[in-house]
Amino acid sequence: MFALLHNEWSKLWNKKQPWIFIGILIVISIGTAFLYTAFDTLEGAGTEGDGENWEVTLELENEQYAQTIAESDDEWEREFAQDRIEENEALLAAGVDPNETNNAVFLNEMIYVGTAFITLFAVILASTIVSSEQDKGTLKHLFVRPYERWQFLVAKFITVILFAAVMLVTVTAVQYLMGTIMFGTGSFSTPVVEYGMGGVITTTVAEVFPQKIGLYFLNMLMFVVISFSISILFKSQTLAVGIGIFILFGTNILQGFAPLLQDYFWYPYVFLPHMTLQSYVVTDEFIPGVGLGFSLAVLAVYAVLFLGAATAFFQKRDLV
Amino acid sequence: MSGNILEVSGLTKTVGGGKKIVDGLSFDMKKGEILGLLGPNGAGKTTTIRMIVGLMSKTDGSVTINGRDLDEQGKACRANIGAIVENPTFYEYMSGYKNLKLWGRMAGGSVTEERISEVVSLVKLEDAIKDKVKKYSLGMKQRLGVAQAILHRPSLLILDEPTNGLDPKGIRELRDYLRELADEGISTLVSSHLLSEMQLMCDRVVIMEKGKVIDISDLSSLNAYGDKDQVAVSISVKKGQGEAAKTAVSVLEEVTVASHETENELLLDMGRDRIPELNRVLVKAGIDVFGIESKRTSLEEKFLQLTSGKADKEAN
Ligand SMILES: Nc1ncnc2c1ncn2[C@@H]1O[C@H](COP(=O)(O)OP(=O)(O)OP(=O)(O)O)[C@@H](O)[C@H]1O
Ligand SMILES: [Mg+2]
Repeated sequence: MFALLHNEWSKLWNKKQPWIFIGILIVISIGTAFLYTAFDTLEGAGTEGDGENWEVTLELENEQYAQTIAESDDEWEREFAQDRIEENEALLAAGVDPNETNNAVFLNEMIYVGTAFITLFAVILASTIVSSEQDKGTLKHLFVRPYERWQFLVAKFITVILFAAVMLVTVTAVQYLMGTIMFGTGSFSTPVVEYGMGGVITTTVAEVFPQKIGLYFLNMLMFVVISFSISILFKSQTLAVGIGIFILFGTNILQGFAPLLQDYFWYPYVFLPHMTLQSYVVTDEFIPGVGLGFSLAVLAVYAVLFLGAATAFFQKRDLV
Repeated sequence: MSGNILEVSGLTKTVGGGKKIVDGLSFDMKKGEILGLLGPNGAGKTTTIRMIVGLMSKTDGSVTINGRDLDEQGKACRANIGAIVENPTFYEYMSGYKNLKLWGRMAGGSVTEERISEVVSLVKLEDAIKDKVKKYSLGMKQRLGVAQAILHRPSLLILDEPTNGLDPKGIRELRDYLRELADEGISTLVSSHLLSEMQLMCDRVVIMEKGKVIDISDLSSLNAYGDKDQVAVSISVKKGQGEAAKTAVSVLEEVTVASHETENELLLDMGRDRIPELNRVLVKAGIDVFGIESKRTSLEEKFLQLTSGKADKEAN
């Protein structure tokens, strides 16, 4: 079994694909740091370096927003202003300077830029790792070796997960490094404010970052499970990549419909709404009564169904 | 236990629509034997091989490898097999050496570095083994395929059309090598539609057509040549007398007209010792004979007779 994993791992790195993925992630992580500085100076123009004045600035901002609410006819504009007021008040209450940046804060705020690409790359790898061997005809020559077919699946699945972990470590390391170079070293106990659908919470980097990474990884795992299984069940890498990416964007679109759908009793039992686990960083329940435990349980059941069906099919089917 | 490395009995594969692409196939293979699976395109050779190596489920019948039932001990059966199915396939982005290395790893640590170089020199790929497989020619891939199949010292080799793409020298080397393996007790099941090839390579051939075994020939007896042997006799007569010659010949018992292609030629299937009698009959019937030529029934002719004869009968 270990031999199979060893083989999969070495096949992976002998291709150009993983190196390209890693390269893109490094470029993105570096680019993120530059973008971050650009926006940072833009937002904080005039107040930079004025350590004491940030509270005054926020209060001034809030007055402006209050005026907008009073004057504007545009509902969206009023809502936006209201949100900003709440955010600023949270910052003031927590004593968090929004312009204060260090490597820990940068990493915490920008990690999801890199991870979005990690999910995409993991989906691509998961969809192609079995089906490309089928297309090239190498799968049949694996199957004539003294192993059970499911053992090849396990080795390939673990390879995808390991590669995703390597990508995550790469992004985290490069962003941390860039953060250190550009924003200086800071403490992981720097207080930060997190915004989400459920509102605003005050926390520290040390507390929130592991949650973000952990929830992200579980979420990505689910994308991998789905695209891996679909590529096997439908014997098609294009379909699997397509469906993987569709779900990737689909979950965001679906969130928009959540208010319409969440009253139906079946809604919490569909896997799609649960595929944004990261929102549990700031929310306890995404609809009343549905918390992290419930989401994980639903996803686990679907994962078992998907993988079970794919494996059963793979064990039985005639290979031509 | 019998001395058979492979026993196939009643092997059947039914595909969608109830079509039997392999139909009640039965044959045995002795240890150290080189057995040919011979048949025209679409006969079901590859399908048979797929079922034997477990790539395809069988609809009916049984396969026993080294005394083990394929259904019950599939893994153990496969451990004894080295196979190329249809065409050898590799990870083209890796070198031939790395491909062998991967393959060796799956054999549970029995394949050493020395074994890899031994096999590489055996198939004469020393110069190209560090190159990526995507640069290999068809023949080089075929050689690498053979290397991969024998790497873990299987007791049963299954090679689907292994001579495909090999140059005459390569074919000869493969033949010699398979013979060497056979002397060590390693058996080879080899499929082909190249009949002359099979004649030189195999001890016995299973001739199949439309999924069925139509003949199993022992080539050692077929290659021998005695007075009592069946031979193919071709007679050329004066133009326009073909039909008359056919009628004249029909009085002879145990002589069959194999084909009657042109109006002045006739092909017969008969015992070699009866040629003088044939000559007399023709002369008596007043037919002008330009030549009587006898050929040993080579496997090729037998094969063609068997398959086309069968096809004709079915068509009628
Ligand atoms: N999965 C399948 N479904 C339906 N029919 C199939 C399938 N696989 C093969 N066949 C049919 O079965 C027959 C035998 O095919 P097979 O590949 O075994 O022939 P073969 O003897 O290896 O021929 P060749 O000499 O061309 O390699 C063919 O008529 C083919 O069309
Ligand atoms: Mg074939």
